[in-house]
Amino acid sequence: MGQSVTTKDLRAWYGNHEVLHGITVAFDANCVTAIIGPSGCGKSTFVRCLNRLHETLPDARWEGQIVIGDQETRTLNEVKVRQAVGMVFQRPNPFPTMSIFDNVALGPRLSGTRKRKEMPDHVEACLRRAALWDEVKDRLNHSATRLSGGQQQRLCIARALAMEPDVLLMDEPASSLDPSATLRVEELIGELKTSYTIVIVTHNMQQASRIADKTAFFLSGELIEYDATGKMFTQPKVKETEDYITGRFG
Amino acid sequence: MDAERKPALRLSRLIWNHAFTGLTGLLLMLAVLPLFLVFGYVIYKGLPGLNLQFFTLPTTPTGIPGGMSNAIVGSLEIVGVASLISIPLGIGAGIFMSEIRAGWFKSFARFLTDVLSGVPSIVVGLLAYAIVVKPMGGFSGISGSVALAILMIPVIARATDQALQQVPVSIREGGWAVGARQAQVWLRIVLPTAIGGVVTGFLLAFSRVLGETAPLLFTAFGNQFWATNMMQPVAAVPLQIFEYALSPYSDWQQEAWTGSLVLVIIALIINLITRLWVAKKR
Repeated sequence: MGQSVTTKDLRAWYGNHEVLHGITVAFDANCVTAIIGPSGCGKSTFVRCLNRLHETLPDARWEGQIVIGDQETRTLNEVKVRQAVGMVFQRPNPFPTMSIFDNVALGPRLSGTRKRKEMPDHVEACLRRAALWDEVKDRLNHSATRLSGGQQQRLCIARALAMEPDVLLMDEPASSLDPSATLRVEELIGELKTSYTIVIVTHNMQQASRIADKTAFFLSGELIEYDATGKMFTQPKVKETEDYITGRFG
Repeated sequence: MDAERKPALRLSRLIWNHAFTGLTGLLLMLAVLPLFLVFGYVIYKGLPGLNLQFFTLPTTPTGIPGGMSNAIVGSLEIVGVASLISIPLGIGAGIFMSEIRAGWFKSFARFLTDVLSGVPSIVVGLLAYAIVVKPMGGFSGISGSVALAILMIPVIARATDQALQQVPVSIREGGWAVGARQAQVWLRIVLPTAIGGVVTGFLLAFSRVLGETAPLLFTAFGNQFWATNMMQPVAAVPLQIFEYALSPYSDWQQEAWTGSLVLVIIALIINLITRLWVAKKR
């Protein structure tokens, strides 16, 4: 599991408005990479290009190269890309008409990657990895919407893991959670990185320094600096990075 | 504002408040009054004929005891087949209008749907006559179903479109993010989430066409006898009411009133079921 993610001169537009101006970067496999930057700098857009969700918006398009492992995503069917690159969103979005079990099982069911007999074990494994199993094991057939916010987000993580992706994208996954739920999600990310490549967008620099091996700093649609997290926060090379980290803007 | 002026101000506001509340209550009663008058009159005229044989005996010549059982069964058959036709087409059209990115064509489709829902039902009946009755060489229940389906489709399509629009984008994105194909996202995730609105739309369409007479006049045509063969003329309650009401026979006229009462009751029941369903969904 866990593939590298490389982009080359990635540009993205909403209509005629260019929001990413040629991003070239390489994320290592089995690493947690944080993407930080002020609001509107293009971090979410960047991440949504990686699983080809950006183009689902009307008038949105992208150009350039995105390579997951050794395959260029543009040449692949976008459904295949999304099966290999999972995503957890800012606000938990479990499927409201489905039970906890069905939420996790839907992805593998639709893609046919798991047989019916294997499903209960597979769902249990994913819920365990998402640190949710103990809380829901007696009520797998309950509606997913009856869970708390933090539980729903862990359910969404389990749902993403069920597809056994190579890369896990997380767009500010803890921003709508309370501190204790946030801590659980961060612990989870630390455990998951051994099996997945994780790219996490966050506006919380303390979070980035807690969980990320490497950090990329975006500003106005450009990649300003990309380095090991410890080094970037203590000895930033670029002035804008230092300004942002020290809170002079953002 | 000094303390002496406050009590006077408060009193005049109170008076205005009560006056307007009273006025709007009065207007409400005026608006609802015709509804109650209609209900009341239909109940008054129809109730004497409401008995078991109305539902068990078929239509008979005047003077012989009868009922409308064949018309009731016929109506259910015609509307049932119309539902089978209109549900997939209506939901499909609704999904198209809500989900496909087709720019100007989408707004055009929505416009057409609204226009179609306003076409007079007798015109729809003539259309069904031209495209089903003439080629078939005779009246039939199926041509009536086609006419009613044409009336039902825009209602179901619009309700589906609006219900799907209410489903947040985040749900769709969740579906795409686990690698679901477009059709799978629509049918397995979005449509089930929107099903409340879709069912409401269907129930409204069903309830409306149950009482439609004009489109059946030259399609299903009506039938005195038991007619379960949809390829032949079939009886329907509104047609029967039409025939009986125009007749000079008092027992047939009584049957017409009772038939009207039954239609009103069915519409009421469907409305109540729709409301209960929506309330339960919330």
